[in-house]
Amino acid sequence: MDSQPEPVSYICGDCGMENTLKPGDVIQCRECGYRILYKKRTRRIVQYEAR
Amino acid sequence: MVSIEYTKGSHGDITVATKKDVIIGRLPIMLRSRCCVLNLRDEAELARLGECPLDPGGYFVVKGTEKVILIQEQLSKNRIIIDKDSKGHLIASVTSSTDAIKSKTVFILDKEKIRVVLNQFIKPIPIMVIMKAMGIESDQEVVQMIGRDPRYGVLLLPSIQECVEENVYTQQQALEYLETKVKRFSFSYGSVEKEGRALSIIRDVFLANVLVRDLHFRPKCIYVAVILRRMMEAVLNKDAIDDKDYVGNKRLELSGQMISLLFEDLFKTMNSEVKKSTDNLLEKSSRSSKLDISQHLARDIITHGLERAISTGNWDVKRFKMHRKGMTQVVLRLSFIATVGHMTRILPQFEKSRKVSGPRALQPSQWGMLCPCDTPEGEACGLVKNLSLMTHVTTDDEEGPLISLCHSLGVEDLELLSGEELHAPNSFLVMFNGLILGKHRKPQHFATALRKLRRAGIIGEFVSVFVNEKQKCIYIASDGGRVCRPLVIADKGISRVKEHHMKELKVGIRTFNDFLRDGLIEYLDVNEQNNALIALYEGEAVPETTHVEIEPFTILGVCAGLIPFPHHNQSPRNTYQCAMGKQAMGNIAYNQLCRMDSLLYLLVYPQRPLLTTRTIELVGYDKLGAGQNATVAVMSYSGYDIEDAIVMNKSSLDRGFGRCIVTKKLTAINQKYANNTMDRIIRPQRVGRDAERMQILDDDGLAAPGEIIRPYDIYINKQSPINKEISVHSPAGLPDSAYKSAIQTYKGPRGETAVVDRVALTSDKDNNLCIKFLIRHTRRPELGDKFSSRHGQKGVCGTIIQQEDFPFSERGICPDLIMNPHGFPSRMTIGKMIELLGGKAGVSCGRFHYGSAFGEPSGHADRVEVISETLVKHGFSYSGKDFIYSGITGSPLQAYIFMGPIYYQKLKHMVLDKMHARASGPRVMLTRQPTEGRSRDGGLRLGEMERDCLIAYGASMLIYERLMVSSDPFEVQVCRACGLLGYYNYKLKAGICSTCKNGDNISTMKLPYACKLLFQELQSMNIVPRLKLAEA
Amino acid sequence: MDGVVSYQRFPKIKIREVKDDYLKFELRETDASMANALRRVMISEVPTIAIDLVRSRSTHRSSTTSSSPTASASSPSPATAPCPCDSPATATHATETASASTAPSSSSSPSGFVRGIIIVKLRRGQELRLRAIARKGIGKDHAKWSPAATVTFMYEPDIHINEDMMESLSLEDKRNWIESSPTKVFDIDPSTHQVVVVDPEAYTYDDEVIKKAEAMGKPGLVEIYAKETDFIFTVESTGAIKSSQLVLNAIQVLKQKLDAVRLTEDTEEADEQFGELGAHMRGGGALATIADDLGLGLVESNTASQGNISSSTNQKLDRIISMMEHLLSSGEVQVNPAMDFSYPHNYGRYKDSHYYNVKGVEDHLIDTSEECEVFQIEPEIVIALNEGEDEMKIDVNSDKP
Repeated sequence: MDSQPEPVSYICGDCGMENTLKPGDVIQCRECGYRILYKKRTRRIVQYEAR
Repeated sequence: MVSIEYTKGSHGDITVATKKDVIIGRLPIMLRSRCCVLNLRDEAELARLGECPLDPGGYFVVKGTEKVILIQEQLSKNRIIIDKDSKGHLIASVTSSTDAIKSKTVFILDKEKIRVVLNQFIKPIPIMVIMKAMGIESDQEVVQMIGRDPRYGVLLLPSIQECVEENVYTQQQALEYLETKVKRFSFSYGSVEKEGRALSIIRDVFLANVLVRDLHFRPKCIYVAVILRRMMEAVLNKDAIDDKDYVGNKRLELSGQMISLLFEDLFKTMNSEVKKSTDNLLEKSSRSSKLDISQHLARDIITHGLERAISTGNWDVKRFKMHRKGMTQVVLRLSFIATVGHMTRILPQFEKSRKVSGPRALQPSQWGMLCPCDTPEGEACGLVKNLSLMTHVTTDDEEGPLISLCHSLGVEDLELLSGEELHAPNSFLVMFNGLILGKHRKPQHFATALRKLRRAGIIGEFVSVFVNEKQKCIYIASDGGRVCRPLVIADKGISRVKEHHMKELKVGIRTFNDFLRDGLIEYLDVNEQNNALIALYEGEAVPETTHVEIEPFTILGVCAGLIPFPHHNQSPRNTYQCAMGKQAMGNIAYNQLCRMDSLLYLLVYPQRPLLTTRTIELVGYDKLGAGQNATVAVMSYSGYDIEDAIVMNKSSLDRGFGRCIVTKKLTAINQKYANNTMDRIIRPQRVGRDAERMQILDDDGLAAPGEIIRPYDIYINKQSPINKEISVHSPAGLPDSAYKSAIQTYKGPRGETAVVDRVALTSDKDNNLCIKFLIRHTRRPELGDKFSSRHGQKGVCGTIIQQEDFPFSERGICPDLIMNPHGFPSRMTIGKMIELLGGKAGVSCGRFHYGSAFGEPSGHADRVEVISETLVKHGFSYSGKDFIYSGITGSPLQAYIFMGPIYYQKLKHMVLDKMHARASGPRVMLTRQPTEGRSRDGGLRLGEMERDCLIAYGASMLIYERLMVSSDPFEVQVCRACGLLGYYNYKLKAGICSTCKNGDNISTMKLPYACKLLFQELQSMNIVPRLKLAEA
Repeated sequence: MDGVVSYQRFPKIKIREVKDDYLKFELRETDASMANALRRVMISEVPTIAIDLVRSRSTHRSSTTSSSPTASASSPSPATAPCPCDSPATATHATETASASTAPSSSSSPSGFVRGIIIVKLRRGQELRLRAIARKGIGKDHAKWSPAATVTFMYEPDIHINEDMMESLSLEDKRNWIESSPTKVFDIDPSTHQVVVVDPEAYTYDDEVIKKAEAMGKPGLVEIYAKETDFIFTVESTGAIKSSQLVLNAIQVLKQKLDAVRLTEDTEEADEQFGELGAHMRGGGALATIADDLGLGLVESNTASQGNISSSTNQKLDRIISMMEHLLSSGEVQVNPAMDFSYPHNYGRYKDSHYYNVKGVEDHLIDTSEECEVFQIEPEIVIALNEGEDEMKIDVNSDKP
């Protein structure tokens, strides 16, 4: 893959560890072995309407 | 998860080896059951495990979906049921069920002759032949066994005559006669057992529940005699006919029984499978190692078998020829109450289509056992039922100790009795789980002794003892599937539960089980209730009273328990609410935001009802409510409130009334293919054609949580290889050109903005990367959204009006919604009015008011007088009516307005999900007509009835336009000579008939494409449709 | 025009009670249309500032704050109001009806400490960064801009007891009769044993006493009429503006609306060519329609020339304003100091200075170390917003703390 500026990291659903994944990696937390990872919230500014 | 010890026999020198804890298969475990990790956990522990403490459990998680095995309702097994068949013949049927066999034996009284119908016989067999086959050759003995009453003898005479006509006198003759009537199977077992066929049927199939040891037929004969006697009683006295719909004649089959049945079958298949594979192995001459059976245990059979059955709901047990579909359902997660209600649902055994009213009718015997309100409307009405609040369904209890106990309590064994003594007066037959145990001379004494033992806890609390005076029988039951409920025991009309007991219960020294153990409370099943005199309240007890109800509101189930003052409503309204409560949006569980449901409806600001019931507190609806307390004014306003429509206050909606969140799950799988290639997810292009649609993607090609997602936005930038079959040596090094785009785009309602809530990455069972996106959409109520109170009064939002236009009171109270008073007279929902009063009193005095069913005498419901007093104390009118000013003119309204808070539910039916319109759009390939249905952006059909209207009106051009121009017009070339369709040759610029091979007689005309299709399809069937054209 | 009697009335105002978020005043010598117009404007057309857009920014550790944007986006009530101190009577706050009933003491707590509305709860290690953009708007658009929690009025009752008939009753009967009213309107003078009206305004027009009198066989014992010219207003503010200011602003808005009506009249001469029809349409029709729109009655000035209609109403409004201002400044009515807002700044007058003093809302970064900290958007900075500007972006310390 072309040079990624910053690999996207994921949060473990169990222990909250941040994991980075490469394509083809097994989806598993490196810390506790939990197999569900969640994407982190976007870092861009999002504008919501308060209505 | 089940591990089983097993013994291994080795070949040659036989040694017996034992292997412990061998896994033979895995069994799904019911949540919160004894084996479940969540069993007996307290709230904090459950929270730590991420589970909701209010979740009822009782379902299974199979392949990632929650599945309930519904309770199945059946007719009692092994019991004699006297009934009439469709032709009016009196029949007695026994459905026998043993470990080995299931059979149904029917005695039928046809033209005064009693015959036996059994599947194994080709035609009904005269009863006397059966009796003779069982060794009772003397007619006198039969008559003696039935009873010496001359009336019985007269009734039996035709049957005896019939037997004589057939020339059957001895057992041998009877068996020979039967032999001729046995059904021949094409592949019968040969003539090996020829002699024994009839005998074995009589022994094993006929009344299979009565076991015959060593051809000792006497118990079976007595059983038949009892059946005959019951039939004759029924002939003489119509009341003796059993009621099939009587709840005491029903058994509820729970998931445990279902699974055990399935497991037994699967276990046997596994055994035979193991046998087969070992046989195969042993047949092979060259075996290197010693045979070890444990190596050949196929553990998949049980695991997969159970998994498949639970996830599909198809129960196939070959041994009992059982093929049932729809046994399991996905747990409803629409609202918390829907989930709880789903666990109490009972499915009927009969087919739904039958138009009989009997099984659908409300049975008096279901009092306290099955909810009288909660049943669906429509075809399953009255067939699908729900358990009441305190119902307990029994499980099988051990029989052996009970039988010996009965004998020691003075039950005389049948063996010691002659046929004459069987029906001697002053003695009762003792029936135990459908078997005749013997007889007892002091029935009441015996029954009280057994009951005392039960209350002392010496025999199981669910054993029932029922003295049937009419049949002179004592029925003792310990079998599973009976419904029963707890009742307070009363001695001579005085309740055993005293005030100090209740105090101890409140303090927490005592629990319900202590009450049970101390003999203050006992469980009665439906049959035993007939021996009890149950007082509704302690004050109403008379000296003969044996029991007192715990609380009358427990006769309702979970769903009906939510209704305040249901006893003031018209009955069907409560039934409607039971159905609607399940569609109300609210909370699902405490962990609702951590779940990944495929579709979830949540209310943003759910409230607990101001007017509660005890059931609400017991179930936990006050913690996971599904509605909001709206201030309702009962008046007409604006005209947009006709036909149950509701006028809503815009400011209330601004402040969050009825606001809901809808989350949808989108799934994407990064597939692996056979040739080692796989899908890939790549970085999104930041410039170029699709850049705008890829804005919400992160560098990993997946949409980021928190981003606003609009229709046609790409949420996963996936590519899949073009070549998926032919193997590639370096799958990783495929060039970009070998992939084609497989992006997935969000399809939602246009103009609405949803948000990506969460993105989870997991691997599925084939180890593929699986990405789940949760899309959240917040909706405020709009025109046409459906709302309902808790009284079966649903209505759509008719209009939304500014707060300043809304009426207001001098206290400044302004309603959240306005309901038209026409909703009341025909619906007769007085409960709703009382709810309004109680809610109004509740907000003014700061106390939750109660409205439990039938709760007024016991203080579980507030009385209207008391509520009115509270209202007056706080300066309101006792009637709940207020003096209201018009918000438009500022002048007072002519009438006092009935206004106060009512708990309103928002139902899941929302306009946004249903609205649909289209001009031109997609068409079906085959017929070229517009597609059907909203999901396919389909056209709006001008149906047959609409067409009829247009024909009647004579709007021929409109019909032509709708049915042809706007649908599937098609230009065809028709040959006037042969009447068949030709084609247009673009080179020659002329139509040509392919049949006549020329273009001489071609006419061009328009047809619906479907018509042309029909012609061609007919032609393909060798039918030639020819068009005859005339000048128009 | 000569000889035409003017029925023009001059409304009077009297303030009874003033707190920052509560105002009770009498409006006399006008009619329902006027009172209602004022009420309607107070609810829906007095502009305030409220959060309209929420920009959430990178949140490093916001694991499961999925509810955060939802909550902030969908909780419209915080607005600029730190404490809309919910009164149990505001039934439009569907949520607050319940809270008032679960904790009836919360609103009446004497300490004066009111916790704000919880927007989101954060767990240990979670954080929330957001920029809230407040905008000027009116309640018609969204209820969050409505400064009024409760605006209501009642007709002042006019109670006449038929003393002769009353004296014919025994003390017991009198007591029974008094008890029949759900509110305490009447009482018995302990010395003279006469029935006296203690609180006429407590009367809710429920007719109970009249019905009781009829049931006792004494019809006409009491006669109660609503004075159709006198109103008692109760105004409760959400906290966005002081309640007194709310009324003043409402009158201003109403005046502006009338000015708009007058503008159309100025053009009247220009299209004289439409003749009688045009004048009829404009004067009789259009104006009345507009005035109707405003909820303003034209009853009292219907004999005056059309041109005077709005100006006379305007005069009335001016009178009300000056009366109110006088009352407020003269010290005749005391502003309750116990409930005073904690904000040090004064509120600019809408009429004179043409700008608002606005409390803004700024970025928050709360890194909670405790399990369940309550996060609440609190106003911090004060920025002036010029009249024409409708949108305000607060963009101070953008560097991270």
